[in-house]
Amino acid sequence: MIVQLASRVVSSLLAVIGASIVSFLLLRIAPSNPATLILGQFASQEAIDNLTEEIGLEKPIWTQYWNYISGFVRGDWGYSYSLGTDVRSLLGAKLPATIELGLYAFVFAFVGALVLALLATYRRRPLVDGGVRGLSFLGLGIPPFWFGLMSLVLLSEGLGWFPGPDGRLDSGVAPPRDITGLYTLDALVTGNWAAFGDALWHLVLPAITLGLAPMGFLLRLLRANLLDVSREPFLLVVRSKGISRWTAFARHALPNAFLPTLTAAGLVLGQLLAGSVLVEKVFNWPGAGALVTDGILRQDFTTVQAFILLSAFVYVIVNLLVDIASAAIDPRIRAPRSVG
Amino acid sequence: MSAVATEEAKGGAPRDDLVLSVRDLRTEFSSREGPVQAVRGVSFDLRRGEKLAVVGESGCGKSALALSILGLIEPPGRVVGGEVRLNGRVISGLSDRELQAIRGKEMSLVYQDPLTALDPVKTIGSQIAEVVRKHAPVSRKQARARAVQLLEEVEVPNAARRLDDYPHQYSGGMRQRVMIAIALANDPQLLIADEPTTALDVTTQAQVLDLLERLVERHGASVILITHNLGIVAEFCDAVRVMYAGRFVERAGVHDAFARPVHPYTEALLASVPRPERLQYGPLPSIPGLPPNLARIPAGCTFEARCPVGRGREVCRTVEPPDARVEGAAGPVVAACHFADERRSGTAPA
Amino acid sequence: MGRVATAGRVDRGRRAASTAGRALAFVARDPALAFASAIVVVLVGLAVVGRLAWQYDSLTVDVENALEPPSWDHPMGTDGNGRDVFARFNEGAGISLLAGAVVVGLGAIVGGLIGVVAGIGRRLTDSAWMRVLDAILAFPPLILAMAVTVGLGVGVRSAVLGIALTTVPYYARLLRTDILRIRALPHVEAAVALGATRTRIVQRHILPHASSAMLIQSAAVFGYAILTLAALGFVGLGAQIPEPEWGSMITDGLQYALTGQWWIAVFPGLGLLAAVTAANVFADRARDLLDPRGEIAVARET
Repeated sequence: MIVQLASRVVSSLLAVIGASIVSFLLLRIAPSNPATLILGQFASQEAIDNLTEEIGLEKPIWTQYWNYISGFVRGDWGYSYSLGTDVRSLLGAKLPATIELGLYAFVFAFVGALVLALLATYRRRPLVDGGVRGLSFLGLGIPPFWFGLMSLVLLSEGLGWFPGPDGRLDSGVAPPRDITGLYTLDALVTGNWAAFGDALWHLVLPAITLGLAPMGFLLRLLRANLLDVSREPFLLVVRSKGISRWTAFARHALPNAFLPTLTAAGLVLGQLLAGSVLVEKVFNWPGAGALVTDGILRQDFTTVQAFILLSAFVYVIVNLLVDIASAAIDPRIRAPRSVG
Repeated sequence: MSAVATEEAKGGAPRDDLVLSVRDLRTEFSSREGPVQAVRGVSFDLRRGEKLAVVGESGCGKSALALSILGLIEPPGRVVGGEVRLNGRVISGLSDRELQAIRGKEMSLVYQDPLTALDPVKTIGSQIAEVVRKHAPVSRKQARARAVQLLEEVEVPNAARRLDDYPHQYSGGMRQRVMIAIALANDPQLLIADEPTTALDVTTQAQVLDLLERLVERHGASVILITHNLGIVAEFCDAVRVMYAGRFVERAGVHDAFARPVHPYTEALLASVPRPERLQYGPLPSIPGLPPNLARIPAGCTFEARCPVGRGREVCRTVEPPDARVEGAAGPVVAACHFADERRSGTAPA
Repeated sequence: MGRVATAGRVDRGRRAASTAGRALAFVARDPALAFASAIVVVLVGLAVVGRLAWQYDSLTVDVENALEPPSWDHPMGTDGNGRDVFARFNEGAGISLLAGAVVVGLGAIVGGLIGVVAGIGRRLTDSAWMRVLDAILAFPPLILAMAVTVGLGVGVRSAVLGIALTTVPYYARLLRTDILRIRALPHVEAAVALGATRTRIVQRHILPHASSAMLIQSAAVFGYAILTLAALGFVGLGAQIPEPEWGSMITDGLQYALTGQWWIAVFPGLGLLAAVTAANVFADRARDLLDPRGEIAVARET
C-alpha cells in the first residue's frame, strides 16, 4: 500500500513537472519577443535589449526553466512586467475570489445532483426520471458563459432579483475584514451580516452558472450508480427484514452509490477550484481567471505560468486525496480479505 | 401433507390453522410486449412445521411467487389477484407500512448469495442487529449481544470477533449462514428460502442445509424452499410443488414426486439430472425447446410443445388441463395434465 | 444471366432499405434520440443549404438596419453592424460542426496512435507515453487550448489544434486500456503463441473492440469541442471578428443583451446548446447500445 502511494506521488510530481515544461515551451513558441510586447512598439531597441537581458530571455531555455522552477519553489513566482507587480501578490489577491466561487459552485452542483438523483430513483416514476435525465443533459450542454448571460438578462435585468455583473459586492458595501479572502466566510466569522448577505447575493448567479455543468455530470453518475445499486439483491434482503423503503434507500443504497461518485466529485472540485475563466468574464468576477486570460493574450507568461503550475498542483493533489479517501472509506479496500 | 394438497386443489376455502394459505395468486409485470404473467393463479397451503419445495426452471415464476407473498413486488410488477393469509390473517391487501411489521418477524427470506446479498459496506454485526432492532425496542448493546448469539447459533467460529467484519471477509458458506441468522432472528413462522445453496460448492451446500434443517426445527418455522436443484429437495423437504410457466403443474409428497412423477414435466426434470452411470449412454438428456413467452401464453397446456406425451395432441393444444387428482403411493398427487390418470396407471399414450 | 444479376442488385437494395427502415424505427421509438437526430439534421441542413440559399450573407455590413429585432426578413434579427444574424448563424453552424469533426478526427488519430503504441509496446514505452499524457492532463484544458492558440497565432485553425491536443490523452488512454485488457485475454495470448505478428493482432483482435469505445468517446468529444471552440471564441482567442463563429457572436452580443437586444447573443447560444446536447445524447445512447455494463471508461462529456 505504501509503495503504491509513493509511486503515485512520484508520478503525480512528474506530471506537474511535465505540465510546467509544456507550458514553458508553449508560451515561448510565439514568434514575437515578449520584451517588445511589454514595452510597446515604439520602444527603442536599446530599451528592448535591456529588458530582454533583465528578464533573461537570451539564456538557453533550459537555464530559464531551471531558474524559474527553483524560484517558484522558494516562493518567488516571478514578476509580471506588464502589470508591474510580482505574480505572487497578484495571484494572492485574486485567487480567493476564484476559490470562493468554485466552492459555492461545487456545493450547488453536489447538492443539486444529490437531490435530483434521489428524486429520479427513489420511486419509479418515468416522467420524473425523464425530466431529471433531460436536466442533466441540459446542464452538460449549455455553454456556461451563455447561461450566465441569459441569467443576467432574465433574472437581473429583467426581474431584478439578483445583482448585475458588478463583481463580488455592491459598490456601497465594504468588504469584510480579510482573514481568508473568502468574503462570506470572513463576514460570517466577524459577524458582519450586511457584507455576508450582499456577498452571498452576488454569488448566486455565478455559482449556479459555474456549477451547472458539473451538476449535470455528477447527476448522471449518481443516478446511474443509484439505479445499479437498487438492482442489487442486498436491497431486497434489507426490505425482507421489514425495513421501510426510505430507510433501505438512505441507509443502504445511498452509501453504496456514493462511493464511486466521490471520486468524480473530488475531481470536479479540483476543476472548479482551478476556476472558470468564462464565468468570471461574464460576471466581472475579480478572480484569477481574468488575470490568466489577459496574461495569455499579452503573453505575460510569468503570470500564466504560475497559474498553470498552481492548477496542475491542485489537480494532482486533489486526485491523490480522492484516491486515498476512497481507499479509506471503502471497506473492501480498507480491510483486506481474510480466509474463512 | 398430501391431504392438504387435495384441499387446495379443489379450490377450497383457506384454513386458518395453517401457517400460510395462498389462493389464486396472480402477478404481472408490464413490459414492452404487454403484461408478462409471472404467476398465474397459484394456490397452496403450508402447515406448521412443513417444508415445501417449489421447483422449476429459471424463469418459471418461482422467485416472483416468493416476492409476491412477501409483498416485495415493485413496479413494473404488480400483484393483480388472489389472496395470501399468514397465520390466518390476510396480508395480501396490506399496505407496505403494515407489512414492514410482519417482514423479518413473522415471515422472512433467505436469499441466494453471490457476494451481493449483503450490504458490502456495513459490518455483519450491524446487518444482523438491524433486523433485531427493527422489531424490538432494544438498545444497541442488546442488539449486538443478540447478534453474537445468532452468529454462534449458525456456527460461525469466533462470533464475537467476527461481528465487526465485512461481508467480503467471509466465505460464501459463512455468508449464507449469516443470512440464515438474520432470517431466523425473530423466530418467524414462515421462512422462504430462494435458492439458498445455488452459489455454494457441494460440501458447503450440505453443511448449510443441515444447519438450516436443525434450526428450522428448533425455531419451529415452516419453510418454502425454492430451487431448481432436485437433489436437495429429496433431502430436505416433505412436499413438492413443481412450477411451470407461472403455475403449479404437480403437487405431491416428496416420495411420490421422485419415485412416480405424474406430470410429464416432472418426469422430464428428473430425467435431466445428470447421473454418472448414464453417461455412457450418450449425451446428457435435456428437455427440448424453451419455456413459453410469459407475455404470450399459448392456449391449451403450456408444456404441450415440449411434452413427449402431449405434443401435437388436439386436446393438449387447445384445452388448459385442469388439476387432476390421482392416488400416489404415499398420498394424493395433483397434476395438471389431461392424461394424469393414464400416466398413473401406466397406460398413458407414447 | 441478367436476371440473376438484377435480382442480386434488387436484393441488396431491398436489404439496404430495410436496414435503413429498421434504423429509422429504432430512432423513432426513442424520443431523446429522435430529437437529437432531428437537431443534427436541421443544423447540417442550415449549415449547408442555408448558406447557399439564403438571401443575405454573413459579412455584409448594413449599418442602417443595425439592431433590428427578428422579423420575416431577418428571422434572427441583425447585429450591431447590420449583419443578418440568421446568415451568420448558419455559417457559424458550419464552422462549429466542421471544427467538431476535425477535433474528433485529429484527437482520435493522434490519440489512437499513441494509445496503440503504448499498449502494444514494452513497459518502458508505455510508461514514457503515459507520463507525457499525464503532463497534458494536468493542464486545465481550457488554458492549454488557449496557450496553443496564442502560440500558433489566434484563429479558428489554431483553436482547433489546441482543442484536439487536449483530447489526445483521453483517446490514448482509452485505446491503451482496451489494448492492455485484450492483450491479457487467453485467445490473444494463444494467437501470439502461434506466432501472430503484432500488426495482425492489432487488426484481428484489437480494432474491433476498440471501435465501440472510440465511437462513444467521439460523440462526447464532439460536443466538448464545439463548446470549447465557442469558449475560445468568447474570450477572443478563437474566431476573430468578423468571422461568424457562435462563441464570438455571443461576445458580440454581450454588450447588447443587457440593453434589450437579446437576439444577437441568444440564438448562437441556443445553437450551441442544441448541438452539444445532441452530441451528448448520441454518446449516451451509443454507450447504452455498445457498452451497457459500463466496462469502457469514457471521460469528459462537457
